[in-house]
Amino acid sequence: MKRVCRTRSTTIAIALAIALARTLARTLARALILPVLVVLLLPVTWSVAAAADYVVVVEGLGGNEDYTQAFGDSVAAIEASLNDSTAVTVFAAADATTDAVAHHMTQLAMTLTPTDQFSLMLIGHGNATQRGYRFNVRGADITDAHLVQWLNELPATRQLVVVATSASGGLQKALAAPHRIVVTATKSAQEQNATQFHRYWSQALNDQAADSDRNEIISADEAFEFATQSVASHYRDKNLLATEHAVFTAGTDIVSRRYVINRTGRLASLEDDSQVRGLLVQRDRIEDEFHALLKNRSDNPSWSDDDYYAQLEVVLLKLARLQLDIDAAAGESP
Amino acid sequence: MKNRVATLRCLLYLITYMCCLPVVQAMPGSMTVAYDTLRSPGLKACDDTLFAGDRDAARACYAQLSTSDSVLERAESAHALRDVKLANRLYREASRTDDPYVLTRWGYLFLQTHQVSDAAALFREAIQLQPGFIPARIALAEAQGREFQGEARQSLYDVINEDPEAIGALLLLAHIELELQQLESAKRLLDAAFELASTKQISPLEIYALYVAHDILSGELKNGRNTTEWMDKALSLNSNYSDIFVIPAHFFLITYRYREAVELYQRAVKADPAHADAHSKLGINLFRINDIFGARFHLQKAYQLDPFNVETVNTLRLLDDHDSMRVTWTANTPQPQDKRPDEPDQPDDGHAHGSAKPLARALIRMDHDEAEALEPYVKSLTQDALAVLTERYAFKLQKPVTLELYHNHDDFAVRTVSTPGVGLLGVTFGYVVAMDSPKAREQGEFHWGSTLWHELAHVVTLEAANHLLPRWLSEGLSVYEEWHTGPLPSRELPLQVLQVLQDNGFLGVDMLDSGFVRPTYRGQVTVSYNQAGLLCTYIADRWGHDALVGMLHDYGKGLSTSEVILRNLKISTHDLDREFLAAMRQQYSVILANLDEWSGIPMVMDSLIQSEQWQRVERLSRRQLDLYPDAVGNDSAWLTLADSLDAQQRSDEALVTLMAWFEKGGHLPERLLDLASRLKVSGADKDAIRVLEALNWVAPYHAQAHIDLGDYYLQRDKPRKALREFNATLGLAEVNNSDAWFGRAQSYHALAQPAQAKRSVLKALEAAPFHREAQHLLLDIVSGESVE
Repeated sequence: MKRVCRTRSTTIAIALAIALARTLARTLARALILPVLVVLLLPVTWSVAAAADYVVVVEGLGGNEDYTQAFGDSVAAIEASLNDSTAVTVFAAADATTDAVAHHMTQLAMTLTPTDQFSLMLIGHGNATQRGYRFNVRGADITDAHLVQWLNELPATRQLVVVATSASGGLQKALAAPHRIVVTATKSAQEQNATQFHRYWSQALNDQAADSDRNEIISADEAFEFATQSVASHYRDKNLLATEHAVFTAGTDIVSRRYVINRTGRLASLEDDSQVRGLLVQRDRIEDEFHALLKNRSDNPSWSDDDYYAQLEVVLLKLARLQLDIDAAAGESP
Repeated sequence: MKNRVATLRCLLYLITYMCCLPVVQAMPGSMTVAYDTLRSPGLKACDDTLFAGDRDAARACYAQLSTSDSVLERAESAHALRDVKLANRLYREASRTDDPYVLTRWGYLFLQTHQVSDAAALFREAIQLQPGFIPARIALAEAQGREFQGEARQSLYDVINEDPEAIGALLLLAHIELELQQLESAKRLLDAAFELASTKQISPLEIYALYVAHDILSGELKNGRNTTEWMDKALSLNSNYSDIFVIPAHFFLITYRYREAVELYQRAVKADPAHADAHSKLGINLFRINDIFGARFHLQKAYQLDPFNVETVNTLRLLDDHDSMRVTWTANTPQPQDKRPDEPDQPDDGHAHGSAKPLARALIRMDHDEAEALEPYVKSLTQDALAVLTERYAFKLQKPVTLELYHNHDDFAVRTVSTPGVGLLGVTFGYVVAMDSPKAREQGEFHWGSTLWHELAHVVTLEAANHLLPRWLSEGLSVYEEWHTGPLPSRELPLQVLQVLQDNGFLGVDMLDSGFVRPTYRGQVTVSYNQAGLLCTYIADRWGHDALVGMLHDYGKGLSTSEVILRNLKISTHDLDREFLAAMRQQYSVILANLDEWSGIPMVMDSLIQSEQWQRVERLSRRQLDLYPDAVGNDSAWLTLADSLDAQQRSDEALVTLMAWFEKGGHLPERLLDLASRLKVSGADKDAIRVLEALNWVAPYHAQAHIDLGDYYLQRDKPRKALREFNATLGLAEVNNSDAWFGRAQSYHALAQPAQAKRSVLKALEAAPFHREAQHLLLDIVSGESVE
């Protein structure tokens, strides 16, 4: 199957809107001209430009028909699963070259703002030598140095890089940053066999089973959990020794459960609804309380069950009641 | 060839060198009489002193030979003094002359250190050097006999035909005949050996021990007697000759009479506290009758005396693991939550089902990591089995049953050491049942529910017959109960059984035990299990189940097979064999007449499936089903038929076909899951429940299947059953168990237990705080509280 570098049409429209809005905003800020236009555009551009979501997917060389098919399937699954509002760019087949990706990343470095979220997913074969990691694409490979440079140049302060390849574990240290989540399919450069992780990572992005907290959002940590459990089952079911052990590392400035990769259910179409958005902000606060309680429990094993569950009940009741409001706002009957 | 032999010797030396420690015991605890005529006069003199019970003198005698000019005599001296390392070196040195007798004696050193296959290799090498060499052939038969290989018997008959005075062969053969319950021929062999030993002035100690065994099997040793003239004679010759107890104890073991075996082993270690093998066997069998403390004591003693014994070491390790297993008890009456799950239509009203009579309790030992998931099913099936079998055999167990389920097959295997022809899945030692848990094997590899039922049938029937059942009837009754009352209706006979039936290869009832204990061809144990099950079914069909019960009790009185059959069936064993065979050939006439065609179909079918010729697959599958519809395994025609119907877009017919397969006993887990999901889609909830229940008996670790089943039960207002399913799911320790906690909360809510319901729903939300239905239930429960 011949595939080319592509950007989804909805993405183009959004990207144009974002670029236009940002240009206008900058101009407005400087000169305060065209006030009518500002009034018309602000509700839309503010919400989108405040936290736009960019995803770049690169499909590496398969080397044979089976791997080419498998990598292609995973990339297609990722592309198909992400929300329409996400700006997805896919590099595949002849267009998946280091130069093409580098050019795109340079453009993104000029376009993105600190509030944006950026995800890079590499699906294919990787290998590690004494000179470092290489992601195998047509022509010169993408190296660890490329990845570090590209990602560091992006202004986005919420970043996720998923290297779903063999030998990717060696990248963990090089790619680590306070504002970045680094996911590798292997735990070290020594795990050199082709991996299964990409199959399950791509599946996780659109599988409600991955949404373990049932908030209709698939976060980075949920997708990782789903994928690693599935990889473990894969090897167990086939009675094989696992040759890959994925690693997830979140930087100190990023909350991985808040790194939204995809929205499912009704939320997928309601993210621009201001009433829902307001309620979701409240929900986030209560969720923080909930997680603080879990951490407190984990840090204090002697805490009695009765006391803990009494406090948990208070928080969960708040959450349940608020969820009724969210569902009502979303037009969903309880 | 010489090079190969040299390599082998080198390897054996290395193995022994690496494995063996220096002298482990100054004098052997057990004595093996060397019956060959090639033993030197010096050694024979020492042997005689030893057999007379004067160990110090014997030790001095053997020690004197350590400076002999003969390398072989020095090797034998070291062997007798248990300096294994030195003996091995000297035998190796002596073997440079390519003397087959030296190799044979060297092989006995390996036998003594429990390296049977290495010993057999040396015996074969000796036979290669001198074809027909009788001492090596006898020794090889002994090695084969230790591993219960059937060819040993014929080899020994051949030896005796060539040399009727080969006492060693006569005794080994008598031993085998006794194992096969051929008491008359065993007696003839023993008498001949005894006469020869008297004439040649050879120690009769082992002959006495085998006479004791004969007395055991012929019922002489019971009826209040705990000793025989043969024991007295042996002990008068040598007061610490403990093999007079150890050798006969083996015959109690192979007839499942563990308590009596333990008594003999106890007398053995009393007579000779240095008898390592007796301590080991005593420990292993105390473990089997649940005396854990005694077992550990004697196994540790055995290990001190003989650290080479793998059985001792493995059992000691198993005892350590055993201590960490989780223990639970069943109640002595069926409990509502313990009801057998595949009875979905009974009212879930909290009343015990079935017999309200008190049953024997069962202690269940399982590994912690699977206990939560499996325990409810083990308990309910155990209680069901005990209720059914107690009634069917009119016998109430006198003690609690202990069930051990091992999630590591190796642990289970250690439990079965020295027990010939036992099933590979479970074993019964009186009131103790040990078996693999479903986790010990690949998913779906065995039907654990049937295995448990089979073993519990052993417990009841053996206890009812005072452990005096022949092997064929004990196994036959268990298979018969599996087929008639167990949780799996399958009656599929393996192809080999059909082939043996076609070839008139079924053994007569008199010889059927040999098919278990001394199989002569690969797969004969399986054939014997099936034949015994068919025979019991035939007897029950023709004379009624009570005839089987009558036979059981008559065996318990010590009657012989011919007496038991004549009394209960009014027919001779010969006629029973003939009429049974005729009936089986009639019952299976269609498949037997077309066996070649039927067994050849799968090969054709494979290519048709590969080329997707579904109409032809359908026709061929239907032909297979016409010939033999009972086949429900991997290659079942029911399944290929269903696949072909699916491929032709006839999914309704495929569903009917899969249900027919299920009703016949089909139990492949993936197929059951698929069937359950089809039934769910088609709205056939009742059948879906049956299928999901059946899945539990073969593959109980499918979390989603438990949740689906729990949901079904909730829908059908059976919260107790639902609760069991959700608890099982939680026992699987899945990563996200929110649904299982929620199901549990719903069940408790339905059972009007709000505190448990609230705690469960909080746990559901703890795992998934945005679980919408759980949130609603929490709000519901809390609003109920405020109303109250």
